[in-house]
Amino acid sequence: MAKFSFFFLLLLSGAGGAALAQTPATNLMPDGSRDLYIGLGAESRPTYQGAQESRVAALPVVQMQWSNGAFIAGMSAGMHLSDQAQQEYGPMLMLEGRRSPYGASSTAGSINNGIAQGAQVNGNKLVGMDDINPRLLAGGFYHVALTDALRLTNSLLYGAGNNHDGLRWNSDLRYRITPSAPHHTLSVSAGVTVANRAYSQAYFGVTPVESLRSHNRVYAVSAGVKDWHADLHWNWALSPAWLLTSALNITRLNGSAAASPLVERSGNLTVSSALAYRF
Amino acid sequence: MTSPKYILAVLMLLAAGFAAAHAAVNDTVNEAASANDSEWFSYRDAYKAMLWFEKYGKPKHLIQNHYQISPKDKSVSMETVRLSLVSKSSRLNLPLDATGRTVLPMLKAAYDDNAELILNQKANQYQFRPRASIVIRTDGVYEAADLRAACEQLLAYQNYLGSDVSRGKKCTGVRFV
Repeated sequence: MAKFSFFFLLLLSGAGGAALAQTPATNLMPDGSRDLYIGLGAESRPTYQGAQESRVAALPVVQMQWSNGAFIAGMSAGMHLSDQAQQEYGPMLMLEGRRSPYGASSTAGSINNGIAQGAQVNGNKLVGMDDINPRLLAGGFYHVALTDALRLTNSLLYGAGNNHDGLRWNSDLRYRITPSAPHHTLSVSAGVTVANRAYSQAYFGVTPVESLRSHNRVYAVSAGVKDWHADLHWNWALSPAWLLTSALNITRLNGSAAASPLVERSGNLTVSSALAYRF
Repeated sequence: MTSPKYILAVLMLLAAGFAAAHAAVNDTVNEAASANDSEWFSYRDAYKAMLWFEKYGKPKHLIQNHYQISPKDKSVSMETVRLSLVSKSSRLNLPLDATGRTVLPMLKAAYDDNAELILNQKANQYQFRPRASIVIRTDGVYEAADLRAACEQLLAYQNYLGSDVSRGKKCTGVRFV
């Protein structure tokens, strides 16, 4: 197909998600129409960025696009302002979920009063750390098609962290593979996340007060490249109405974020699969 | 693998299998005896690809846009190939010309119904894509200047789409097929 077009379902991100903000491609349609996917799947992901432990959770999936360019994709919403085939850009909002200590089973101490007791065994390093409250991030996206199959995607979002001042920029090169089997789309991407000091400190820093409550030493994080990551996306259209969408993400934390006492492993894997119905 | 992960994985596989069976039986029009004897395409995806030409704002009066069915095996005849637009409430036969091209009707009702384009051929034997070309004259007489202009319009449109095929190319001639 001469027109460069991709299709992605954005998966809902949970607390401290490593999921990138993604936007569905410009979707031209009759005035007044909409294209809607709703589905359910499962996702295995680390309990927080840098955690040793992963958990599997149900994953609702939603993507809506309207003829005026507005879209909702998982936890993101935005608007396509471009009418050009090779460039997409516009404003975007994204809901960043809560980060809090996961469960009570992985530590030797009680977490009921938010203070880590006794020796840390099989650590949950977030015990004693402040929760990071849900935040609505605001920003924009800009994607450009370099060739038919290669695309550079960017998103810039501001407002993360309890002080609402965390900024992160995601930039990815995405390559579409054309499989010989019909109704399959496959793409691979590699990219980087750059964060300001406020974002990095919120997710990877330890304040003196938190250090007293938790088992973590005081730690300050600087701005810079937060992580490198690679993604694989596979969509299988079972029929015009049913779609199986799957994704795999590998993220490797970088620099002072990776060296944080909160980080149990700098490499994390997120895998998901969902079945969606197209209305 | 922990028990909850295993159960979720099995449930997902069951759901996918159920949906595939459901789709094959219910969502494919039974023009052929089985799902293997027909190929389907999403009308919404085809519509989206065709609409770029409608929205293209530069001169395009000398060019046209079709959807083209082309066999992967070039020696296969197109005589028995039939294309239908099927939605919940209607079925429309889309005639194909000798090169497998059809004019895709731009119907909001079919779009909103998530209609299907059904080809009466086995799956995975045909490609289905937009095809821009120069407008044919009924008298078959073409001014050289018009052909040059038409070629330039076509090249500009392909560059607008970002097509790799036309990238860096210039118009040097026109081919009649």
